[in-house]
Amino acid sequence: MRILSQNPVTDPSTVLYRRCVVDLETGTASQEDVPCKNLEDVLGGFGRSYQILAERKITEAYCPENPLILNIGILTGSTVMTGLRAYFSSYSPLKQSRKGLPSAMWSAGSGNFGNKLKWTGLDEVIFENRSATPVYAVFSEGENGPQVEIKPAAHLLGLTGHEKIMTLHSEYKDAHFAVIGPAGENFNNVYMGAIVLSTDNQLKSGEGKSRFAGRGGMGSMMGYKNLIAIVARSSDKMGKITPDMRDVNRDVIKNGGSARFQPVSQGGHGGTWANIDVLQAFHAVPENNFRPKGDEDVAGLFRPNVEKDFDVHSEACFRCGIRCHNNLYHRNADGSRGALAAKFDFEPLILFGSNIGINDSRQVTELIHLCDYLGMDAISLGTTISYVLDYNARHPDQPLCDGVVFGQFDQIRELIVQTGRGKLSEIGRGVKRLSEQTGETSYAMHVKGLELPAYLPETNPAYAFAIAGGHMSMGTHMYLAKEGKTGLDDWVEVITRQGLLQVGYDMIGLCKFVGVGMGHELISRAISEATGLNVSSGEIVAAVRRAYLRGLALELRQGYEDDEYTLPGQVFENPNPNVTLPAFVTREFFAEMKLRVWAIFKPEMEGLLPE
Amino acid sequence: MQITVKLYGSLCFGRFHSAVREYPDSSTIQTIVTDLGIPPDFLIRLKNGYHVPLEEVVENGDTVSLLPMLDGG
Ligand code: SF4
Repeated sequence: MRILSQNPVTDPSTVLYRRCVVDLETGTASQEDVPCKNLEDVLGGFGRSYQILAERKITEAYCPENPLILNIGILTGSTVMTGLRAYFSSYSPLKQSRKGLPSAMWSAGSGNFGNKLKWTGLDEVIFENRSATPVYAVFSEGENGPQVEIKPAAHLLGLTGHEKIMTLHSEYKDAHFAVIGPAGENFNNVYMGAIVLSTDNQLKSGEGKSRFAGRGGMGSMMGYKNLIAIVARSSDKMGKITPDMRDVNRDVIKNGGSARFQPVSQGGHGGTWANIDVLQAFHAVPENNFRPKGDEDVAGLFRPNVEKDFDVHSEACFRCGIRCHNNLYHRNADGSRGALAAKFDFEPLILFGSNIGINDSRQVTELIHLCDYLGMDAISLGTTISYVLDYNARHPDQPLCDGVVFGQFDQIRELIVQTGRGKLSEIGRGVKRLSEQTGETSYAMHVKGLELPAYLPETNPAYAFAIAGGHMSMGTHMYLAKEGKTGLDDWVEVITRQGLLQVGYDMIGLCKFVGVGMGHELISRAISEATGLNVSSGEIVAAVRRAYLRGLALELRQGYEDDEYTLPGQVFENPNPNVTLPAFVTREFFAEMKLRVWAIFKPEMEGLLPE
Repeated sequence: MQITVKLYGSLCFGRFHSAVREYPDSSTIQTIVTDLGIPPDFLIRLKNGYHVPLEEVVENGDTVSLLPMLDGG
């Protein structure tokens, strides 16, 4: 990125980012410095990539004209703590309007890949068309700027994501990697393929400690393009930390928002895993396809119980002091730490645990590990499997997938293997398509074609306004549990003000677990210290808001109709009496909430898309 | 007066899960939080199952639940 002035708001074109366009059909690449059009371009991530997607009319995801855009945020590769995110954007094979048009999507991942890409000198790569044969792309820093090579990748086919990373690492010692697993290779039958990103810890230990850009099937898009891996090679160019930046990083650690994700030993609450304790207090932990039973079965997944079987160790991405990862290790016979079993985050823990009727942590770790190795989005896979199990419980005489039911570990394990290897398209194409085939849609847990994360829809009517995943693009999934608010005014306010700003983290390159709002002075300070750019908190908030609304406008352009902005029918038709949080999401409430939200959003959406 | 205090998640560590504790009349949630040495920010506070502010006055026989305020991702 070249920064020629300090004010990106009045003069965004004085900030130029380095774009590389790779034509996978011809194996050629070109580069240019692109002047920014607005502050969204400057901040980066989906704020920039969605403007590129908006310029194209794409009617099916798997077509050569649908680009896969890899980019970073303005703070990726900087000395700001957690500044290491990479973003992948495209029209999604998974998320689709009823008219059959693919929705724009982005997915974010950490690890060290984003940093390495930045340090090659590139800010953005647009992969055009598709290769006739499997290839991988190598981006390297060169004496005269970034260099690009396209190489054959047949030797990587069939390997798990972790194996691909370790194979490439043996050849490229100075690199980090973004790869697909077998799921992405089988893109025709798996629309939920994830992109697997390497971490320093993984490369050093040889253990499968990858990070994932999972949502929306961006790994399947890579598979369609026959792009099996991306290698970013460079020396480490982390700048010297200035005293002011040290203050910024100290505040990242000290602010109460990030403390929640820090290890208990560090005075924090222990990462997202601890959500299970909080939600269980309200019997709001998803069980048996988002239908809590009002019992204590999930207690087997509470940390103290899991610690009886595993050595739980807090670890982190590159130079991150928040250390939110809870990695579970087997114990050796002598009590010492053995091999990695899995990483316990709330989403996979629940979606491969209580939500499919499994509360034994040893079994859950195995399923999480399998999903990760095969390279699938844990949320989409777990939620689609829970639908199958629910359907089978309702239709024992005509079941799906050999009649697997809740709690059958071995059979569920086999479903995951079959899906990841491309042999079970019923699951691999997601719950929306499957439920439309069976005709039973009310308990298919998706909104607008994207599977729900592990927070009950009856506690979050704002899922309807998430643009790229229920909890990643609308920060309201814990609002009811945290605040207890059920009023229309409260929900309209939280959706149209704080909730949508969640997406800002997917522009600037930081991790959401920094835990402050986009309007917090910490964000503008971090940008100023890392880049010299003067941007006020208000200007950042305005840019994030425009980017979000552009995403919403793009959904409408891709054919979404008003009645697709809804929740699974079960929420309205059959409220769950076991959940002790207030049951406030009636059809009337929801309809009124939508009317009021659209009344605020629609006028602001005008003019955000190209003609 | 006697208040049943329930703690969840990491708030239990080094404390307790559930205990009946004595507090003077006119105590508030803040009184209990301070007594237990729990930082008051980022805390979910329930009185008899309902969300309440820190200033909420508690009465003999009430159950107060304190939960860490987390988030997803
Ligand atoms: S907060 Fe967690 S996920 Fe985010 S950068 Fe730090 S260790 Fe990685």
